[in-house]
Amino acid sequence: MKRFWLKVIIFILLFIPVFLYVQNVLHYRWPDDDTYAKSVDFTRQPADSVDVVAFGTSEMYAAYTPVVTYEEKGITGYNLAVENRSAITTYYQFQFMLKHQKPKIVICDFACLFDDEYALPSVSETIYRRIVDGTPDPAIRLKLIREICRVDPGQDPVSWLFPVFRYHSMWNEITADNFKWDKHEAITFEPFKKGAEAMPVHFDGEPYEITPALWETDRSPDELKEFSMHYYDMMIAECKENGIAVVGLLTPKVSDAAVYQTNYPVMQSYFDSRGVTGLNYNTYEQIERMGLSMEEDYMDAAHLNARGSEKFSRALAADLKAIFHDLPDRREDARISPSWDADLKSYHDMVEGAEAEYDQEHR
Amino acid sequence: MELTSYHFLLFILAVLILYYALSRVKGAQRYVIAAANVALICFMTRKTILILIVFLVLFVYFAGLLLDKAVKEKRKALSNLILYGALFFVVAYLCYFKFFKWTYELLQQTLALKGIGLVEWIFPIGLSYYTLTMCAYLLDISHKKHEAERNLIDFFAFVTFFPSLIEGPINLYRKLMPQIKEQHMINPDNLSEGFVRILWGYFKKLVIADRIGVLVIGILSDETAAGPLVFFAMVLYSFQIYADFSGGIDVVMGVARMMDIGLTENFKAPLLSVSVTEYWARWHMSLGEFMEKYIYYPIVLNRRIMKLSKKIKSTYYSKAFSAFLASVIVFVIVGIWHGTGWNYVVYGCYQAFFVGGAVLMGPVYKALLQKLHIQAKNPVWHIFVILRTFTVLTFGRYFIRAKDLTGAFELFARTFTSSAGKQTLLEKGLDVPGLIVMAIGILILIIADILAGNGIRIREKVLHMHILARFAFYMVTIVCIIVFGMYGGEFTGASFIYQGF
Repeated sequence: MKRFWLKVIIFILLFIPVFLYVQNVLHYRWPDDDTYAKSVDFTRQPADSVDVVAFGTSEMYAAYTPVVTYEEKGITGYNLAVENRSAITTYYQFQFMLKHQKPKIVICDFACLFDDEYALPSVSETIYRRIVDGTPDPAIRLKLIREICRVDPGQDPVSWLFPVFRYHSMWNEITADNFKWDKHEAITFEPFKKGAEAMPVHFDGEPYEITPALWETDRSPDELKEFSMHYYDMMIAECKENGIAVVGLLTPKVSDAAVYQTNYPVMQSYFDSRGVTGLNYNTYEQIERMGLSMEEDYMDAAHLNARGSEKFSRALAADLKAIFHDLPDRREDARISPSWDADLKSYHDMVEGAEAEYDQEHR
Repeated sequence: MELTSYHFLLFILAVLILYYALSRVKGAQRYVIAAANVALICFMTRKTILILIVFLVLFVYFAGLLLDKAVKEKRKALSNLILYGALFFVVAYLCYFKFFKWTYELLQQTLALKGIGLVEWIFPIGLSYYTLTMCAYLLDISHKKHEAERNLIDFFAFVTFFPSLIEGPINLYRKLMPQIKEQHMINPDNLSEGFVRILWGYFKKLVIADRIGVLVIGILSDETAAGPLVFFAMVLYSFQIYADFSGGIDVVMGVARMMDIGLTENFKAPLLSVSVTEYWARWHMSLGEFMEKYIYYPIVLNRRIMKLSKKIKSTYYSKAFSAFLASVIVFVIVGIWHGTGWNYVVYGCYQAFFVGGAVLMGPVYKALLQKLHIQAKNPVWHIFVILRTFTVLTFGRYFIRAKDLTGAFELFARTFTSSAGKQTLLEKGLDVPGLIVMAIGILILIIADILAGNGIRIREKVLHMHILARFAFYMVTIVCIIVFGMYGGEFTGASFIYQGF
């Protein structure tokens, strides 16, 4: 009998690496895989070197470029916003952030305040898979999985813990890349971007003129949803516990100008009740102030390109400095300024290079 | 909790640990089985269903005791009264849940008007299997094959034996009960054998059956699909239902084997059947055994029917009459047992037509073969009759694949209508690699049946392989199930087809 159990143990020990290898091969490769890559890059930031961390959806990801706020006012930061939206994932990203940095300000677009069932994993699985797959910290990943399965009992925890049970049907799509041991081996987030998208691209489609008429609407405001508020409230409470200021920020998302024209007052009342500083850049006046034009500064009507992001980030730096007087000027911090100066140069080189390339192609 | 869920695997693991942990405590394993039966019923369905099942078990338990007493006291009239009364009740119980759902819905609607809500209708899990087990139990007591079971827990453990609660097989008291009462010590051979069988079952179910199922649904749900494509879908359905049902049974048998309990085999290479009659001796054998022992022979040996058959002048037809009549009755019952609706009745009649026809036309067929100089053992002829039987059975499955009789005739009509446009398999749910995996799966199924038909069991061969080769085989099979299995995500894994019966 002992021999039998020994054989069983040997088989299990042999099977585990086989299973992990199969799981690695059949792991979905997210396009660009930037969520994982930038999370890893975030963990490499020197301790207490990041003063502002941004969370939120793709509009925030495209809008906030920390190296520009550093250049403008010496404010260091990191952009942890991702392409999709969920208050649950935002909260667990925030938890991940707290393990590595203690910033002075957390910026969040609170884009999910009006989401409820839509935000459930069964409805928007991609959002959750992206963050679960993109979280390098196993403990946070486990907490997030537990929460996903708690809020949505229909979810199968095994498929979250062992993604091969979800992605196995990809077997007929695998390429040579799938056989590399580290799924993120070839992907690194350009460190100088500090988590920002910073895409030096031109407007995709037919740009239209930004006029005050875009904000005119007779729609009724949406209602705040308990489901998402619960996670935002936890994030705000933990920020307070840690002495972190929270900024609720609306990016200049022209495509939803009318929506936020009615919804922002609701958001503002939420911010006021929680002691959150509200900054609304999605107004005609703010867009005028920043000098944004759709043709020059947007990728599409919702997302800024690198040029627009630069304008936005300079305005944001000025506003943050005006509100939070004690924000340090990191340009004078000998510990981190050399690397940030180098990153700033790389950033400008990248944008200028891309612009020159574009000009050459379209000359 | 489905048979393919990891919950089920964890449940089995927990039961096995407890079962063998108590192997040295006399009689404890029976309690583990009974507790596992209760737990599985509760996990798989509503707790109220457990009450319904327990009620039926109690009824049959006491009916069995009374019947046993009456039989022993040779009080024939009383024993008949108890036997037929109890059988009537059990069959009525099954029929109520199978055919009278509408009465409950009517009650629901009536009470709803008065503001009283009733829970949703649920078919008690495994009812079709354990009601037959109970009928066999009562009949065997009356035939003095065994005594009534005196221990209620043992009786409950036997009737609702959890592995066969889900998909059968139909267990007989004299085969299963002695094993339940025995003390079982852990045995590596049983564990290995059971494990291999479970793997094979999951492979058949998840890799073969469910993959075929996608294509079958893809073709049949497309109303423009017609002609040979529809027949092809039905051919695939024949493989699907076999892989699905036998896969489920392999899991059940594997679990029981791990517990050192042998259940009645349910399949014996049915793909190799040379006639519909032989097919029913190879397919769902536990049902066949029940029908043969408790319906077929009692009809054949019934004095009134024998008397009636003697009125037929021809000696052959006089002998064949009772067999023909019994076959027709058996298969109509088999059809009805499979599901509700006239399509199932017609399905039973269709099978009865071929089985009964074979009884009546046997000598004519034999003479025809002789006249044409066809040797039954000729390989070409042998393959021909296998394909002929498969085709006949495939047409029969039109009646159970369709949702009702009209649907079945529509399916026939579509088969014999040419399609309007060009039809391609690639638009029906599986891509080329998926079709290749499906084809390989079907090939494996056929090869396994051919080998089994020749007395070669792959799982036995595996168990005798060198340990490294065995490990490699296990790993490849598990990886194949994980990777090529159809589960999770966009694919809503259909329950085992027979689970609903």
